[in-house]
Amino acid sequence: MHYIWKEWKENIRGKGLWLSLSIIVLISLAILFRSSSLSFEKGFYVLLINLFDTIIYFIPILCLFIGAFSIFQEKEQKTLIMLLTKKDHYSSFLWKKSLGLYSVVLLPILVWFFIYLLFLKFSFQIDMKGYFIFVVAIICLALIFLQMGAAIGSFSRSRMQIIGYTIFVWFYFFFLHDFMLLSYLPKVTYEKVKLFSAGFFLNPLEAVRMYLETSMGVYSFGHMSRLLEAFLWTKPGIFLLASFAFWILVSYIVAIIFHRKEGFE
Amino acid sequence: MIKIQNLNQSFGKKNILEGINLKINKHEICALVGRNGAGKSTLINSLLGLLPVAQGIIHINGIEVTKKNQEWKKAIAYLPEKFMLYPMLTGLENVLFFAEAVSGKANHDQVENVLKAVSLWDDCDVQVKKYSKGMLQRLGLAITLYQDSNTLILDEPTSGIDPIGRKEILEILKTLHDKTILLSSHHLDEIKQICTHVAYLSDGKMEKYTVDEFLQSQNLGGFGS
Repeated sequence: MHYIWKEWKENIRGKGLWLSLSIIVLISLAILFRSSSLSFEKGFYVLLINLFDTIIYFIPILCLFIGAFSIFQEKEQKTLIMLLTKKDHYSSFLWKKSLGLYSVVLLPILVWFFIYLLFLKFSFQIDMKGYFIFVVAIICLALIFLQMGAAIGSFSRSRMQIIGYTIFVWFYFFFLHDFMLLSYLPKVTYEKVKLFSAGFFLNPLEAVRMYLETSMGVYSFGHMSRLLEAFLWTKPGIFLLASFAFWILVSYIVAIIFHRKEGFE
Repeated sequence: MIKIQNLNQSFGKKNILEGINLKINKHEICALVGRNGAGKSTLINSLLGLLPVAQGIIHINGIEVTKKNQEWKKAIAYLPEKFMLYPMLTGLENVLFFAEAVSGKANHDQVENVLKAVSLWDDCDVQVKKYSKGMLQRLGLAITLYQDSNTLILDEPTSGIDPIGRKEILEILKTLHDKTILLSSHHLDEIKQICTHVAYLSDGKMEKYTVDEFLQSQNLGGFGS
């Protein structure tokens, strides 16, 4: 609890969190104003999909930076070494620090999307279940990239390394992952399609998008080809859960194995 | 009490510490002295369990420093060089956080006592980013003292501090009679003022002297007098 308390005080007095939140607020308001011409009945879903398509570019990079710099500052300020030499192992430190980071990032996002819902109520017919699914999708994305950021902060030796790794991770999930799978696509047989889809949905951006769009009824599962049926061999929610668990776990383990307490190691 | 027996540490083929033996008893303030690159940081990191011991045994208060048993951590408190703590938190919040991180629950009376001991009680509600270097160093000492460990390891506690700030730090250290203290320092005048012994590290080997013996051995007998 004291880590959460400390993380809160540090972040609400700093500029990074407010800057990140203001970007999300501005984007959401801009999308709302742009959507004023949409119909009262169906506009709600279009707005949410548009909003998701826009903030999906920002949330990963903001969370990567917040997670990475937060851990790196503990090294830079020598507070990490003071904690490790007194009590904690790195694994328990990282666990408590991650909980602190989750609370610092998620609470303002949740508060903002609650306020945003009030704005939406004036313009559209609200589907509470759809909105809840949208918020869950955003939360999953934020948590995965926060934990990845924490891993980057753990093994980086300098701020420049953090910037380099963060841009690489962002670029990988937005472009390289799909590009690599597309180049492999011609070799995918019907027997291998499950494995291929597991690889495809390991990309959290694809898993979150599929979950959101299918849950909102944008995709219909009624008339799929056999190949597409084999590709979507389980529910999108399961793909998202698997991707979420995989990346949280991998990021946590990588951070523990490759962490550097200071530059001397 | 700190006891090091036949400690060897190396990076690749380079031997940093060779057969180090050192015993620092209770009530002793021992300065760790050596040129840059002599292995002071390696020795401190070994004492703190941050570097696995390649060969040799280290005991802190009679407990062996190992990865498996972390009991020795209770007996030791470390203040690194050039630390910054949490600049956005106040001095009081910093001490409270470390107190809770170490013992689960902070004893507010004890927090007040350590902040008064380092003359920071009046400034405890000021954010640490507004502290001077000397105040920051005293706050670090308050955090270290709160833990009430028998053994303190201080890495250049007066580095980069103005003369008045240095004097304040040294006055605080002089009051810690009941502790075993190992402090690394480059300042002979402060060694002469507060230390009882000197552990001199050179070419990976260590010798322990009383302060007077050390000054004589280095032809510095008249230093500071």
